This record gives sequence, structure tokens and C-alpha cells, in this order.
Amino acid sequence: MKSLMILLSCLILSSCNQTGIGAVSLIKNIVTSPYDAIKGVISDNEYDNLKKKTQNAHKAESAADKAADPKCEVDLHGNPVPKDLEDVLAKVNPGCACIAWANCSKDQCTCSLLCPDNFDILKHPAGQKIKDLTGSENSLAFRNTKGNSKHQGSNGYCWGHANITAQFNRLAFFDKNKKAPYDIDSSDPIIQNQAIKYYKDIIDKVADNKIVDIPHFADLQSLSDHPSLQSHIADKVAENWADHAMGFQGLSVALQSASEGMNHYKKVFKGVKDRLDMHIQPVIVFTKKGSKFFTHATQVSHYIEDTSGMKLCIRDSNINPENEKSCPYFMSINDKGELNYSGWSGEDTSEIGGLDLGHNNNADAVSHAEELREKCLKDKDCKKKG
Amino acid sequence: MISLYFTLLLFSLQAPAFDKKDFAQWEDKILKEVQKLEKTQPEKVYWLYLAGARELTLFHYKEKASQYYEKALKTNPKSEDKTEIYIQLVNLNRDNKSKVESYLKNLDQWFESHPEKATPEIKEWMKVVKGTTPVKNVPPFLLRWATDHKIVELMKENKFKEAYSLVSPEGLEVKDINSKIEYDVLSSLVVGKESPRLYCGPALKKYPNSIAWPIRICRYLTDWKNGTKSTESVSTIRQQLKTEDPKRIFYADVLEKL
Repeated sequence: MKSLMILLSCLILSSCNQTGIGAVSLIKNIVTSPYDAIKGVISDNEYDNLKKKTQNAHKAESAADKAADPKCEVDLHGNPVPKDLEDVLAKVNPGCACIAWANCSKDQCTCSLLCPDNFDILKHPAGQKIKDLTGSENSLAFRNTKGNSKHQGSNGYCWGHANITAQFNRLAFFDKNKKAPYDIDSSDPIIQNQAIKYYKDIIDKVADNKIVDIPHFADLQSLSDHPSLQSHIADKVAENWADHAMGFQGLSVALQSASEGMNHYKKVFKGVKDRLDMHIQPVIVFTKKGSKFFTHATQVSHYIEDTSGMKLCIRDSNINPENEKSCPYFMSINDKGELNYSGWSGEDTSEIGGLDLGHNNNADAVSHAEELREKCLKDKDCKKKG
Repeated sequence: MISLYFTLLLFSLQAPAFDKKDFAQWEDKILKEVQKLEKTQPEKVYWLYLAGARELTLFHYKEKASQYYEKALKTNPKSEDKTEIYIQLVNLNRDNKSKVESYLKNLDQWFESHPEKATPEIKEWMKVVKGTTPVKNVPPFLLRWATDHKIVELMKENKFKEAYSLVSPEGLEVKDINSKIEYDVLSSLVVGKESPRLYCGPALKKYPNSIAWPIRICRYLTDWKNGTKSTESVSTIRQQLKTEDPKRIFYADVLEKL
């Protein structure tokens, strides 16, 4: 929460430029907006602060594109980096694009471009697109559930499955070629036990929103396939589900089964789109129309806009993730203002009643961005002045 | 509705929110503010603690969040709805049976004096938490949680047939290893060696050297089904569960019943 500390200090000292202006405007927003009784006031404002910085940066990038200056980059506050600096950088390494997590040194790109103080920091490895987060390799090796309930689309630990997946997608740095201190497939039980302990500690850190390097495994799929670790990850999924679903906020969402109308759905779609544009695959929670507690939670992979409107492509933990990138399951609003989910086409109705963003989205995104920036600054040797 | 005062107060604390290493600094400032206000403006102190508790919950600091909800309760402004606090206290302490029982009692008392706050859905949730609803009547969103807890309870009571009736092989191939072991152990206990297959089998085949407890149980069940002497023993499985996953030590007890 260092950026909040900076923001607060700016407020008091009134000596920061853009950050200070942003903070004043944020306070104005809080004061003029009705307080949402079930959300976190501090984390939501921290999220808004980073959102504004990200959107400013994107606007500046877009303006630069329009000016047909492909080399132009933006700084911490979204301002274009001076052209002469760009030229210097280009001479040093013409092939080095100064973007978040780029494989360039701080002599080639400014630290504020390599490790931006906005949600672009979530784009690792460098140049990652939102859809790159989707698919089998970035999914847990086990599905949520297909239990003995007739309500198969709802029963399970879906919210935990979605949250833990998002945590690994953002916070884990897999490196198949890096040797782990202990071999988890060793035939020596002592070494194997040490390896299990080592990886369990890593899993605990991710579940606690901390950055981790994960040697030996190529991706989330292979890590969570290993039986020694799958059991522990499945426990984390269940625990995370209960933290969110069994609490007051979770209960409030699960009960909304009446149609909430086009305006509400469009507002939520807009919130989802905003996050996807900032490289955040948010978790949404939705309830079948007319069926209280027939509630499901999923990540949204990406969106597609065409003449019929916007489709939210869903990462459904009950469904094989193999073809997720091609958007086989999606949510859309029709002309009557009804919201439908194609993944529930086998149910008696695919119409959704309640829909909301998970209440943990903002706090998690803020924590993850902050953790990633800390790592980036350290990795790029940007902690020291100069 | 939170007051303008409260909002500004939060932003004037000049400290980070809930980063672990910085939390002590934040707490020190908030507590000084509380000291100033607690006698004159308890409702503001209430909101301060409540907002802190929500943030702590969001950032996964359950114990501290619980303390903040407690502190909010102690300020006791008569006009505020305490339903959120009581529900959160139950959920944040769900692994501590005695605490949950005590918080549920408080929740019952709250609803006795404020019956209009106890919606049918919250009552449903309370029954699930208390374990008084038969699993077949649990709403779908809470069903797996309720079922998993019931199965463990039944296995500990050696009621294997009843537990077996709550599990299903449908879609089990793609579920997690814990679900597969649960099913395989129960089907072995209830159906016997003739049970059609072990769902943990493919994982054992893929990771033959694994000494993870689910694979050890799987290896033990495989050998038992084949009638061969196992390289695994209940005592070594028990020892491993005791160290790694004590809440599942009941598996060692039930394997002895095979």
C-alpha cells in the first residue's frame, strides 16, 4: 500500500503534481458518491487511483500512436517521454521496446517504463495480452466440480477456484528450466518431502497474495497436476471459497436472483471491460434468474464487441479450459435487457438474475500490482537512485 | 451512510492501509484517533473499526479483522445494523468450533431482538453453518461445503454407507485428488474389492514415485484390491497425515476397517 501512503502524504503536503490532483479528485468522488455498505473504502480508492494512472498512460500511448510516432512511450504519469530521450534509447538498443517487464536494462529504458506504477505492471512477461492469461496452461489441472447435485452449474468451490487461478496467473513466475533446490520427483523420500514442503510454502505465499518464483514447473497446469501439490492447492481453493462465499458480502451477492435490468448489467459489463482493458481478468458472481443460491463465480477472459453488442468470454471452472481463447462460453445482454450465459444452455434457463463483480477484485488487483512493481523494481535494479 | 468526517479521517491518517509490515504504523494512528473520539462520538469510532475490519478481511488478515469487528461491536451504537459483524465473526472463526458456537449464540440473540434482520436466506445460512439442515436440503451455492463437512463427520463416526450416499463418480475424472481419494476410500469400504475402479489410479500411474499422502492411500487401496502385499502401511500413512495434514488423520482410522 505504498502508493496510498504517497497519496496521503501528497494530500497533506500539497506538493505533488499529478498524484496530488488525482487524490483530491478521488476524495471528491468519495464524498459525492453514496458509500457502498459492503465494500472496502480504502482498497476501492486505491484501485481508483491506479485505474486513473493506467487510463492516463493508455490515453497518452493512444495519442502517440495517432501522431504516428511508434517509438514514443509514456512516463509514470502518462506523459510522453521526451523525444530526445527516445532517440537516445533507440540508439542504445534499437530492438528494445520500453514496456513493462521488457528485457531491457534501466540504461536502455527508464525505470518508470519498465516498472510502471499502474496496472500495466500486471503484464508479465513483457507484451502479454489479456487472452494470454487464458487456456489450459494457465488453469488449474482440476475442475471445480460435477457433484451429485442436480445444480451442477452452481455446486462447488467456484469462487475460490477463480480467485486462486487469478492469484497464480498474476503472481507466479514459472521457470521450467530453473532447477529447484529439491527434486519433487526424486525417488529419495527425504528429498521428495523437502520438495513438497518447499512448494507448499510457495503455494501458501501465492494464496497470501505474495510474488513467487516457481522453478521446475512450466505453468500452473503442470504445478497443480502434481498430486503432492494438488491436494494442498485444492485445500486453498476451498478455504478461499469459504472466505468469500460464506461471509456477509458473499451471501448478499448469492441472494440476488431477480433480473436486475439492462442498466445494471451494462454498468457491470462496463466495469468488467475497464478491468480487462487494464489487464485484469476480474471475477464475477452471478445467480440464475429466479433461483436464489444457484450462484456461480468465474473469471472473465476477454470481451468481443460486434454489431450485436458485447460478449464477455467466460473462464468457467466447471468446463475444460482448452478452447477458452476462442470464447466458447459467453455472457451477453439481449435487446430486452435480459442477461444470458451460454455455459448454462443445458439448464432449464440460461438467464441470469443477479450479476456483480466479486467484492475482492479491487483489493486483490491493488495488492498484486504493488507486489509486482516491488519485484520489477528490484529485478531491474531500479531500487537505487539513478 | 458513512460521514464526510469519516472519509476525511481515513485519508488524514497519513499511513498505508494494511500492508503487513506497515500495519503497526497504521494501527497506531487509528488508535490515537479512536482515543480522541471514543467518549464523544462512538458512532464514528464504530465506522472506523468497521472499515478497518472490512479492509483487513479483504487483505486476508482474519485474526486482526476479527479483533476489529469485536472492537466495532464494543462501541455499540444502538442505531447501527450489526448483522454484518455477527456473520463475519462466525465466518472468520469458522475453524474454531468453540468460538463459532459462541458467535452463533450472539447472532441468535441479535436476531431475537431484531427479527426483521433475519431474512429467510440468512436463516438458511445459519442452519448450514450449524449443521442442522439435512444435506439434501442445502441450497446449491453452499452444498459442496456442507457436503464435505458432513462426509468427514460421518466417516469419523464410521457411518460409511451414509457418507457414500453423498458422493458421486460423475465428473470425478477431472476433479481434484482429494475428491478422488474420498470417493475411492468410501467405495472400497462400502462396495469392497469389487468396486469398479479407483479414480486415483491415473495419478498413481503418472507419478509412481510420489509419496504424497493421497498417492500413498491410492497405492494402499490398489494393493488391497489386487490382494497383494502393499509397500504402504496404515501406520506410515498415519504418521504422514499427522505431520502434514492432521485434519485428515481419520483416513488412517478408516483404512484399518478395510
